[in-house]
Amino acid sequence: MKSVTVTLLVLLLTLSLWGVSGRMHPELQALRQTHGLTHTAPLENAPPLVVFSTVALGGFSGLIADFLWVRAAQLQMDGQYFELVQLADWITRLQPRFPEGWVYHAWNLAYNISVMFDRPEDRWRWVRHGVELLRDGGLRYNPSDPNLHRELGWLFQHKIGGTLDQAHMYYKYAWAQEMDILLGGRAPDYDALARAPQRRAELLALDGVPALLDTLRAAGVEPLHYRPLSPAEWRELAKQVGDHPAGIAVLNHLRLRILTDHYRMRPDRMQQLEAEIGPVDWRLPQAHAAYWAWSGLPYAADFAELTLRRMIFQSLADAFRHGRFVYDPEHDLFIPSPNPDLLPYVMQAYQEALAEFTDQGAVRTAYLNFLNNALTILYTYHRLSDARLIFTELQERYPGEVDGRSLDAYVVALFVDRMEDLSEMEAHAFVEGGFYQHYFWLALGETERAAGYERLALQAWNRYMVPRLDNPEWLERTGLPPITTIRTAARQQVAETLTTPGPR
Amino acid sequence: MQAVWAIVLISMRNAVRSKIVLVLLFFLLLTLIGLPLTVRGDGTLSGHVQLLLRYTLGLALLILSLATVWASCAAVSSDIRDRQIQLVISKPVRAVQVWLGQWLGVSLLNGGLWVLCILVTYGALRWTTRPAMLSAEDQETLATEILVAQRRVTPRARDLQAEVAREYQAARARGEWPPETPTSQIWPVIERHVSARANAVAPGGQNRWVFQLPRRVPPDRSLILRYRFAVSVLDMGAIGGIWRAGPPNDPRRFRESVRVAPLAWHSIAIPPEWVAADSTLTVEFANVHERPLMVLFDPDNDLRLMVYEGGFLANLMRAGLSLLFHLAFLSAIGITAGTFFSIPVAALTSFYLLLLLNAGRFVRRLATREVSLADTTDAGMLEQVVAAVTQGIYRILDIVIRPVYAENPLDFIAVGEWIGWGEVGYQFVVKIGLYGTILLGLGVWHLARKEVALPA
Repeated sequence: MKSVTVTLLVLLLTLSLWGVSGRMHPELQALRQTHGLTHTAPLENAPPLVVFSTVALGGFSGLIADFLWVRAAQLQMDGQYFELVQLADWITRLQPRFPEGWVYHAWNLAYNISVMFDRPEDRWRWVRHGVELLRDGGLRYNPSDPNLHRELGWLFQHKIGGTLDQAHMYYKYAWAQEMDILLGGRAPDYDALARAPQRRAELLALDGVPALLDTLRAAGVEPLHYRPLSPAEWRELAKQVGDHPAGIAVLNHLRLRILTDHYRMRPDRMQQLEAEIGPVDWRLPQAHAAYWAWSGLPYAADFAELTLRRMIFQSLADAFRHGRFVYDPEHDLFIPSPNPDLLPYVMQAYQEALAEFTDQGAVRTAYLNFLNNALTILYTYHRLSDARLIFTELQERYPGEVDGRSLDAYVVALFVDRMEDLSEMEAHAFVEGGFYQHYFWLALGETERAAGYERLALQAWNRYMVPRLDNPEWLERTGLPPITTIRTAARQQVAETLTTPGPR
Repeated sequence: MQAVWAIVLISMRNAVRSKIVLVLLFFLLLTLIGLPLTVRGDGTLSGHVQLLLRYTLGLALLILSLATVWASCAAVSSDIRDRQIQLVISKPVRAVQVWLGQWLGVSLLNGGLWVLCILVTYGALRWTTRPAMLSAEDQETLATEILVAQRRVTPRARDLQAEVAREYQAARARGEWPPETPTSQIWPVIERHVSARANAVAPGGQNRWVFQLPRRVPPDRSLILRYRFAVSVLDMGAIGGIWRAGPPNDPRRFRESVRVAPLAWHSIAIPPEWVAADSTLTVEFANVHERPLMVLFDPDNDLRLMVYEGGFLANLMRAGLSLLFHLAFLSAIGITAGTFFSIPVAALTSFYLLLLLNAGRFVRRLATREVSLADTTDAGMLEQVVAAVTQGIYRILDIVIRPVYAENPLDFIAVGEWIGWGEVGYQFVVKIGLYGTILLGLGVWHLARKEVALPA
């Protein structure tokens, strides 16, 4: 009896001390920070396993992370990749406040391992693992680290949005498809998302929603898991939803929660970004690069701020060059092309960066390159008023470059100089621009001028493609679509232009 | 025999009562339930299967190994410490019966737990890959490519000794090596060089390898050629090549163009009809990459022909049996150590031996390499003697460890590689028959002479 009493007393004392220490904990943490006893802020909102591994293991967590890191490196050398996602996850979560660890592993998954696979879908999976590691882990535990924002933006800007990877078109298409389904077009309906029920309980309280959810579940769709749905699941969802208010509420609730819970993006911030840098197409990787760079700006200063701002205007410039696309998921058609409507926004972003970083020659050079590039695109698209605007800007800011030449003479010189080293997107824009002019002038009855542009487009296509025909890898990575495809896209654009009222 | 079974029962009861063993068993339970729910593969079905098998069974094996060593060390040692052994040895029970009873007790307990681990893991595997979770295509892949047992066949070794000898003579004649350099140092270098050259594929050229298959291949099962290669330039871009398989003079033979990244594993399926009547398969790789570069294969590691041998479950059982023999071997080490030392010392000794056994490959490397404690030209007599003794120790260790050192069978089943009955039998003969008997002899010899009735 005595021993039971003692045991109970000890238990009671233990629980009381636990309670007291729990109450003192926040105060002690604050004192640690006040007196500079720790170089990092305590972890907040981390899952219990992460808190346990960082607190209970103490300094040993670093040793375990080292051991796992060595194992990961060995497995990678042996070509065994299937464990690497789990190992990268463990290594980074053992030391969640070590941003370089997140950066290295995300880059390793997205860049080093992805290229070891032949099939684009396999590569895409690894690129996604890299993005998810940074977005869902790195930024969760280090939300105020500008470097992590930049690295995540870089994966979108360079790995998915660039042309270095053989499978880059697959990445772009897969991302566009995913975003198109989720957002229902170029951008979400911000007002609808702002009105959408945020919590599950709010949704379930709406009339007709429980019955609709039962119907969806019977059809094999579980919408309240808040994970990205497959195209087939979205189709089923859309079919069941119809125009019913309850259905629209479910749809908007889902869009909101998947966007915030899975992609960790906030619609109000997306809208704010669009208000600042102009209308972007969220189906494009450049928009996401700009979003993550912009999200890191409040925490950045000096060089970190410059790199984030650079990422924003570079992404905008990329979106100008290929920020519009012909998209038809039914026929697996995805052709990016220039979006001249973004011109004022890109120019504004560059001009702001120039005003802020007056001592940075790199920004000045980047702006010159953009203006030259934009000029060739707008000229071939017959957007002559915009082309003149750019030429005036060039005359004012870079008089030495223009060297007193007329617009026509300057553009011809640009074409001649740049034809040899055009990127795939630039070449595509150039060829499509030529066809655009061809159909435009053809529609206006100027057949000779039209024939001239057609010849120019064909010659450009040949000149760009012939050296690549002997190199399948180069051709696959940077080759242009068949000439008929580009021609069709240009014809559609002309048709749209001529049926849209407004000055040219 | 009755005496042995009585000790078996006591041994199992003691093991179950041990707090440390209970804690380890709790972790075992946690592993079996928690790991399959939390591990993240690379998003592929094959990655999921490999990770589930390797992590769950690997961790379970580690925990069982620790529990085995502790329980077996405690088996005799704690009986001596608590003076319970006096109740046993005062009866007509021989030392060999005590040893065998304790060993069987721990081994049977382990056996039961290990079988449980395998069954639970297999159940988790089948549950997470049940038809409702997979597309029809994935189900097909699971049945025909993942949950299978395939024998790994490497290319037939080429006889390069004549060429190595020629190169060796030429190198000596040219004076490329100092005259005092021993042949044993030069020969392996030239051998590696000649082998690398013989397995390289020059720009625009081709190379051929012959695989000797163990028996007739099932007509409905493709042969899977797994390969990787390095290239002579620092280029991670995809390399173009053509694989051909079948009789070299047959114009219709199997042909597949590939464009794949170097240093990564790739595979192609070769229909079984291209295997010759003498059960050989000739495979050729043509280097047709547009840029001139050498493609380099290491024939021992980079080329594997995977041939269907049987089902997955039987392979899993064979792997399980091999590892069960390993656990029984560990308990033999623990019990013998327990007859010599107190529990902590016996456990530390056993863990050290366990570590040494797992470092078998490292020990082998040290045993076959020249050991130098100083620059050979400056080494004095003492250094040379120490080096010779150290090398001798490594060689003896290698001789002792080599028979029991084996690749982890879990690595084989995870990638669907076949484990033969011959391998299982070898594990039994060596770990139970040979080393088990030696440990039994040592333990019995010492137990029979040990004074167990010393005053406290």
